[in-house]
Amino acid sequence: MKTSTILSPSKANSLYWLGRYTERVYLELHLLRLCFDKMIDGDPQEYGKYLSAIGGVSRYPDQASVINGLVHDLSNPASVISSVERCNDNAVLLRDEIKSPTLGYIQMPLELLRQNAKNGIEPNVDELQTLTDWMLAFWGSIEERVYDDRVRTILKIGKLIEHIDMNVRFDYKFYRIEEAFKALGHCKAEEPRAFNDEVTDELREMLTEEKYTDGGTEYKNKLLYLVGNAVVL
Amino acid sequence: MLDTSVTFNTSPNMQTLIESRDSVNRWLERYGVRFGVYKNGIFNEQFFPFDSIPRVIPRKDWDILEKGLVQRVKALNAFLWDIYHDKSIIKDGIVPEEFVYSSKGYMPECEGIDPVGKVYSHISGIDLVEGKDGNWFILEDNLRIPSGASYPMIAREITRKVSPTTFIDNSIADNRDYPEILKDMMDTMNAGRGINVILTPGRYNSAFFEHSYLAEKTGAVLAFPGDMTVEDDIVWYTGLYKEKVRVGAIYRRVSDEYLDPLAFEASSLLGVPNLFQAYKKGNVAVINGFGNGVADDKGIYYFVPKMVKYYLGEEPILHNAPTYLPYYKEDYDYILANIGKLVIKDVSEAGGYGVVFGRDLTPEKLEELKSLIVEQPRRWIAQEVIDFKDLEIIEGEEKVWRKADLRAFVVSGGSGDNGGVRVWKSGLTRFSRNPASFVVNSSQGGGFKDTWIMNV
Repeated sequence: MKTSTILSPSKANSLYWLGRYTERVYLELHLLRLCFDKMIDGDPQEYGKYLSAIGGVSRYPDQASVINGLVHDLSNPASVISSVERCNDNAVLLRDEIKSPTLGYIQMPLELLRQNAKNGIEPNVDELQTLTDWMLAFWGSIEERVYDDRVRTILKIGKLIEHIDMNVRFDYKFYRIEEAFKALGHCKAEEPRAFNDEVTDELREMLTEEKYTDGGTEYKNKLLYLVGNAVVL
Repeated sequence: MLDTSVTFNTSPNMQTLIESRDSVNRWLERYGVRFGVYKNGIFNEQFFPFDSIPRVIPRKDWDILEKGLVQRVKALNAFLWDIYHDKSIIKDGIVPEEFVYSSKGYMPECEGIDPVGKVYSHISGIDLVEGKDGNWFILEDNLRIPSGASYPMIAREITRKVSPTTFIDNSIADNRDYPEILKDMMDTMNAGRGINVILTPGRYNSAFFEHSYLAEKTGAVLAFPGDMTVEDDIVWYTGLYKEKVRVGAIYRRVSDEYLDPLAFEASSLLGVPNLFQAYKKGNVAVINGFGNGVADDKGIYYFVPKMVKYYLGEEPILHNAPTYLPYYKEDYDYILANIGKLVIKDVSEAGGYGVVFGRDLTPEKLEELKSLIVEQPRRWIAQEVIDFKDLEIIEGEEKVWRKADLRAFVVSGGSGDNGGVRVWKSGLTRFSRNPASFVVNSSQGGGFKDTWIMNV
């Protein structure tokens, strides 16, 4: 049991980004499964839409290399392996906060992806589902093993910010963003100084169903900018 | 001494453990048990290969080792106190002063400082080998930042899971109390009722896994460079919103020279400015203390048995490997005459580097080495090659024999009997994976085993 609950700025920053990257991995896996499914009998260029939404650049010559690249290409910042590496970069600094068994749910995906990438194994649904299961287990382990409210809250702030960001990028329905923003409000009540009040106020004003539905690219970009700047950790 | 290894290694419950090697390694992978290595300027993380056949030390042998280790570490702590205060061991002609003052580890800044509890080496890593005749020899003392305890700790936790029957059928001392021993020592040494922290240089340190794991297990705060400040000679840990809590004990994993840029290496970004001042005032325990390098210098090693007699008035229980100092004329002549059968060590090197076996050198290289010894006799020591006992390891599908050593961990400054000195009933057994090599260091490709101290 930890003898002090004091948390340094650098650890708070790592917790925030760990929350963001674990959520990103989870959603990337979900979205990739959808994308790969559409590519079976739909538009083979579906992955281009995925990359454009996530901010990546198309660089693969054929369908097989697309699938492999979006999962195993470490040089592609939009790949799953890159996101898991970033999870690990933050998680290893937090072993004393999140505990070794929780860290295991980052280490296992990392090793699986590294080995599969090294051995040229094509991504398949079993691999993707296993990765998803581990991401869910990570959050379960946080619930089970982390008692420090501040640690849990900061992780959750990161998770919700990423959730909103990805949902906006992929044009998900408004209610999903609204729910996540409400949950973020609960986190703000617990950790008010983690937020930029001005930005969160502006976000609140912008987040109406009407504005979201009618908003064009400019609205969406502004929203993403505000989401990225709502937290000051 | 009783060789129990064969009996244990062929019994059915041992077989279960041996066959679980891959499973153990998968668990180690799962927990991120790695160490970092820089090669050609590039940082790589590697797994530390685990071999599931343990080193087994019978209780009666351990009892002797334990007494000998306590004795040796008490003498070394007494030496450190003496060197930075009265210097009676020099005045009495036991240790020549040039060995102390020319040692890279001697820090004049530490003169007259009284560390908390008068303890310098809180965590001592003593490297031993077992000779084929069953006698143990001390190879070196590590009193600055000895690492490695976390590996057998976590390996035991895992092997108990994957092969429980092995532990039901054998009465083995539980080694999972190391965090409690450490915490007790940190609490006892803690100045001003502050928090305990483990100060790591960061993720790219070779032993970062250990730093983070020990923080998790002891409940200490894992601190990174920049997390602490010193104000009015008190050390503070700074929180997210600039709130501060006092720090009472720092288990530092940063070398002396980088620990305080205002007192030592000015370019260091790893330290805490003015920490040395707080330490001098007795406002914080620094674990291990500053200036310990003078006592684990390879040249000073020669004198440790003499320290035991001098400070404790006792005969040394544990022996050094037969060692020669070119500083002494008799030894100098012996070394030059027998260099081909000796192992020569550069006292300024560590981690298995700077170790040369005379038998491996060509006549020309031997002559070159002799010239170096003649030019700088203080820089070298020579030792007889100990024909130390090989241990069985699994290589592929077969059992093979490899050289192995044992790092025992002695914790000083805790509560309880024996002056607060405790020997952890375990240790890090490292082995060479190269059949021709005596070098067991992890940085040079070695692996590790669990070390079982039997209860009976």
